[in-house]
Amino acid sequence: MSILSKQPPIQQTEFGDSQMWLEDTVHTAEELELAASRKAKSRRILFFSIGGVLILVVLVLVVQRLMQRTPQVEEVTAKPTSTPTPSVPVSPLVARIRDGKNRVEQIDTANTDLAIPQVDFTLRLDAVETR
Amino acid sequence: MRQRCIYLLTAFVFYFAMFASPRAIWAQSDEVQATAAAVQVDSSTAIDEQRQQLKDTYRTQILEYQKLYREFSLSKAEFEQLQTLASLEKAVTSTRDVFRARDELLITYVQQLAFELAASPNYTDANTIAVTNQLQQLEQDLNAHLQLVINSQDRQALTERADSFVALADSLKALSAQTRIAILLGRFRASAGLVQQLTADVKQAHLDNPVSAIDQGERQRAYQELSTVEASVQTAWTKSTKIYDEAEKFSAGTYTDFVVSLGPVQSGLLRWYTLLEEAAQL
Repeated sequence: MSILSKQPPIQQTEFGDSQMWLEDTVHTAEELELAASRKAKSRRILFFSIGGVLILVVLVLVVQRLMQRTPQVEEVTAKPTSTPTPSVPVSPLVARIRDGKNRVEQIDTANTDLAIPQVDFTLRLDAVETR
Repeated sequence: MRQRCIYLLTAFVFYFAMFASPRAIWAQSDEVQATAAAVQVDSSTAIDEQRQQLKDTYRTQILEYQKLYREFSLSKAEFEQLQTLASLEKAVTSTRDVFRARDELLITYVQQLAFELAASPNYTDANTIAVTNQLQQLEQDLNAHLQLVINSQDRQALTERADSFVALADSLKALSAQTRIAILLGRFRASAGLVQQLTADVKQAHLDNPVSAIDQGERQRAYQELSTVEASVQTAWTKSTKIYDEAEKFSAGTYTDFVVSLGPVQSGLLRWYTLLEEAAQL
């Protein structure tokens, strides 16, 4: 028995390159078109998602702005009259009544602004002479 | 590529429509509100400016008076101690200066009283005219005294100025109390007149808007409460005006008594307004 005959017979367990190519699927023109349209569809979905997210962000910003603006507007309207802006609309008559009440509250009966000046009404130089 | 451009364009349009444009509208709205506020402020600007001008003058003059008063006290003490001609000369100068500063300050104070009396509603027209005339006379007297003070060159002249000032000081104290009471009477009288008018308006509004018998009963109860508070205000008001009308001479004591008597008037008016607001909503 020769040495060569001792070698075990070669067992082909893997495919060669040529066989792989042979097994690769072959796409027809229709299949390729279908794949392209799927790709375009997925892109469209992606852009719609981005657009949706952008709109959502814009909406959130707008709501945030509105929430920040509201107290400032109240502040501006409150300054000249120095009365709190009523949240519920009131009739002109009730508004006049409230205005009248505010006026009574604001009357300073002590009238401290017009108090007599703190000066010495008895200043005299000749007091020196009498001592 | 074309689709991408469309999406981007859409996003920008959304941004400007919903974010940038409202900002511009808000900015306009702010401008409108600021203009409205400015108009409201302008209507009382003239009075406020004049009042502020008087207050500023008064503040400057009182500081000047305080400074000169300290100098007067020092020079007087120095003269008392040294009894020299030089110290007498210094004392005369500082006395003249402090007299001048005091007169100037009191003239401004009288002007303030006259200004506030004119700016307030009248208690009665005749009373306002009478008090205004007295204030004008006092201002003239103080100005005349000021001129004499400025021209005073020696110790004797300053002694005479000190003597003549006593009567002026008494007039000033009395007129100060009288004017301040008149101002308060005018303000309260105007408030009482307004609440009476508003009460009539509320009743008229009720007549124009008839309600069910049950609600009408509520209105009647409110009217009764209003009548009660009106009577209590009237009683308190009579007491207050009596103090003023029957005063022979005004003083700080008169003013204190008057202010105490005004307490029930003020609280009564506030109660009246509160009840009226409730009645207006029935």
